[in-house]
Amino acid sequence: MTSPDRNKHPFRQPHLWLIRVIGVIVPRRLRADWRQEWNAELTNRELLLADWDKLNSRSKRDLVRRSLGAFWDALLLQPQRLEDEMFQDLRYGVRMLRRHPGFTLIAVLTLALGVGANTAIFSVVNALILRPLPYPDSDRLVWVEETSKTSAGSPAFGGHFLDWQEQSQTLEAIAQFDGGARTLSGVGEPERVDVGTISASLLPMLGVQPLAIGRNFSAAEDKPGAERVAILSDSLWRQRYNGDGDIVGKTITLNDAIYTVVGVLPESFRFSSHFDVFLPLALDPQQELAGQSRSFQSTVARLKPGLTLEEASMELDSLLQRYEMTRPNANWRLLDSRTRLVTLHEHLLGDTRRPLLVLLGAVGLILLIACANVANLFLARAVNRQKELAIRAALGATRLRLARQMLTECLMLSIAGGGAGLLLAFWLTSLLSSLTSTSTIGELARVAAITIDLRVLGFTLLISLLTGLLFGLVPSLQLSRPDLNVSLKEGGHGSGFHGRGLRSVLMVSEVALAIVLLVGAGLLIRSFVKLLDVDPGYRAENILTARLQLPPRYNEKSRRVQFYEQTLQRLAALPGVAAAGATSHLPLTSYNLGGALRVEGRLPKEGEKETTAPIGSVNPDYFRAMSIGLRAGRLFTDGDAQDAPSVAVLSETLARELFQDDDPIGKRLFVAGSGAELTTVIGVVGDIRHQGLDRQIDSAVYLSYRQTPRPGVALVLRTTGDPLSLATSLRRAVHEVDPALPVYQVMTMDERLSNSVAARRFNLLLLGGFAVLALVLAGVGVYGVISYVVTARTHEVGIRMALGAQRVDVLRLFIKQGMVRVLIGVGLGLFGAFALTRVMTSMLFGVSANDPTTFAVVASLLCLIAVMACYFPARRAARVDPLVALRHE
Amino acid sequence: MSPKAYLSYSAAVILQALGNGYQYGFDIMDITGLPSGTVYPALRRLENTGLIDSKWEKAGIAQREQRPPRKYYELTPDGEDALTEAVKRYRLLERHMPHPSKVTPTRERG
Repeated sequence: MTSPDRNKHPFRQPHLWLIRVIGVIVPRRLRADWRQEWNAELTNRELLLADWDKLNSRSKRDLVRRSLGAFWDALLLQPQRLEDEMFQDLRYGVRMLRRHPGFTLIAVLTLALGVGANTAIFSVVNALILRPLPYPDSDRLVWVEETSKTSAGSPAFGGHFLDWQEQSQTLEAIAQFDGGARTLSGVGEPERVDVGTISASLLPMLGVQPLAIGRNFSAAEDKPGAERVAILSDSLWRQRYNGDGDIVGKTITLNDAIYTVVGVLPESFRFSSHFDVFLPLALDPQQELAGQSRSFQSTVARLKPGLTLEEASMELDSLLQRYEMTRPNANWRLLDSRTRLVTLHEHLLGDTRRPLLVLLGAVGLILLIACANVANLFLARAVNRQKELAIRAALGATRLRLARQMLTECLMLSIAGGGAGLLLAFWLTSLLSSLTSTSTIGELARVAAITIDLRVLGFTLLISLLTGLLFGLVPSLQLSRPDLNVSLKEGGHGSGFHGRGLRSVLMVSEVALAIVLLVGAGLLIRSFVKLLDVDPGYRAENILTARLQLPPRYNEKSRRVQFYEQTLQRLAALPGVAAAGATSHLPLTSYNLGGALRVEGRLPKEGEKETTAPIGSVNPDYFRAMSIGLRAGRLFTDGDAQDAPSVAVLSETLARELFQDDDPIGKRLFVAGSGAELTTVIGVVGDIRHQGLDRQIDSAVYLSYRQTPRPGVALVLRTTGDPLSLATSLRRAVHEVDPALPVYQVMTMDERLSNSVAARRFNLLLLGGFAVLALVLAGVGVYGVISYVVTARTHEVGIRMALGAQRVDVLRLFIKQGMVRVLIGVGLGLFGAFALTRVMTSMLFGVSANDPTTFAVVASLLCLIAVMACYFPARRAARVDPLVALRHE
Repeated sequence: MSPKAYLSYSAAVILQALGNGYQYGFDIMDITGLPSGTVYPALRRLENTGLIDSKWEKAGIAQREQRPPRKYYELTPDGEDALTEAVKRYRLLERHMPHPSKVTPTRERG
């Protein structure tokens, strides 16, 4: 055996040459070792086989094949190279971040605010918009309404429902339900409970099968005259019946009628309306189909798989038409009625989608501002790192390597910020879910739970990483291109640093984004202020309200009158009560469609719309208690009693609608539901906004409670002091008259008014909070940039001052430099806001989406903050001693 | 990675070869019939997971044989456990070990 020549020509020893070449891609740390191992093996094999020249071609091929296998070996070692460098980057990054704790803290906090706000709002969007309703195959559940020329959408008639249930080929199931409060008595205190009357098909259709205990209603029980049965909600069962496992078969008493409990709903059951007890709807097919009575209820249906809303809607329409055409003995036919189907999700979401998406957009802007801020911080810190980067570049680090190092630091920051943001989001989400109620986001609040689930976590991770890339990428690329000569010479403070332009761009965009957010919030604030300025027609302060519902034992009118008289007498006598009123029709409570009105001696013209108005039954003191002013005629007196002529008081708008400019006093009307042939108008009172401040004025007819006593009534106490202090006395007064009568919804009128604007306040609070955050971030951003500029130009300031510049000149120099950029940002922001705020139109009240006042105020506010943010660093520059400044590098 | 963790068949074969005393990469290739592009990455993986160890042979040996020093591999105690486990799972492991003579290179005549 002879030793092989180590310097053989590659063509003579291709295998060893291959190892040299392939070795280039092996991670440097492993390279020498790797080459030696392969060399040794191949050489050894060659020795075994004697000299290359003497090898047969098969053995030669074998050696070359083996050395080619080394390529695989080298390739599979590649991840280690990345790993090595990544760990290096990470270690280095941690060191850098720890060396500048202030920078790290501010950056992480800024990002945490951005990510936290985004995660929280996204968790709401996720719960309400993205996540399906908590029913099996919930995408097939639809909400059915009927529309006509006069109504944009009303519950469907029972007759239609029964017909659809029987005939429809497109629906798998259809159900109706209705709600109302009843008095639950028997064991313990009597209380008002919300009762849902549901068709037997509802629960199986929603997939609530089997029940927690017992069973659903049978078809036979869902008929009039069937045995009275009830299903309890989980919460009522637990609270009132202590979770009695043997509840099935026991009886409960509702409005003095006895029902047998057949089941209890599972705890997980969610429904858009809050019901404590469920009873069968028990529509009377004879009556409904014959058209003698018209009942209407909310309607939910389940489409057959694969069918669209349009197909089902078309079928229900044609069934409805046929039904109305062929129905015998119809009192009136609803020939212009059409059905309208929307998904149940869409129906429950209602008006909530738009504000939510606006909020999501707003937090998106916050995140962008946060990114710009952190990018700015990063650039600012990089000024001090110019020298370090230049040295690394001089030592052979490639640009990619430097950029990757910095990007790694950015990603570390963004992950830390994301983690902190997630903690913040957990807190914010629980806050938000406690703020969301039916008054803020509608009925969907009952169905959807706002939680942080996997999708939200994924979203957080995604935006954290995106944020890191966003604020890291551009600075990293910029900084990894250091001008070695300048950086090394100037010690990193020179004007050779090219991040300045980028910083200005970032500052301008921050200001612009903040303007957009501020304008949005400003518009909401203006809307809210305008809304609170609206005169509801009554004075809400110092009013205590409570509701009562008289049970069937008060069916006789005289008993009701007697009860009201006694109760009101006691209430009026309470110390601290200025007036004790009662009404069947309290503002801001559910809206009664009201009855038809016809003026005596005036025949309705063909095609003329009938005048209808809600009809309230009130006591004489009601107007005084609510501070609703008398405009003409007189108010009720105690004399307007059962046996006296029927009298009515009209609201101003209604009086004008019915009698135009004629004097309404003394005119006579037919008022549906008053029980009287004709009713004389005795007075006109001021208008009120029954449905809420942002709604139009509602006309109203008031009747005397002595003439038309209603079973449901709201007590209205005008108090001289704190209304709530009278709550106990109010209950006591009622119970002195009837101890078994529940008093519910005891709250001040102010509270009711405040609840009615809760949705707007919710949006305002959130968007306002975000806008303040944006303002702070933008202010900090401007401050940061100007501080940096001041530091970078200290030397120049020294020269200027040495040449005779005054402090005020220096101050002006820097403020001007900052404000030019701020003004560019403000301009761009106003332009953006002009384009973007129109999506908010539906959320505004009394303000246009391009309200010039808001735009002007917001722009000035931001400029003011910006001037302050420029002033402080500028003052620092102006105070500098020229000698010190000149020495400053 | 614990010794009980899953071993691919080729990794098990390589462990088996090491257990049988074939310590160099090329010898393992010869004995198992696996190509170098499989054997070497597998050896790196096994070494990373602590089932085998690698050492450079003493310079003296290499000098005596007038060649560069070779790297040899050994089973660690964990590796031996893993091999025992693998033999239980791949019952045919021992039978599949090819005979060394099959891949012995031949000399050209002349």
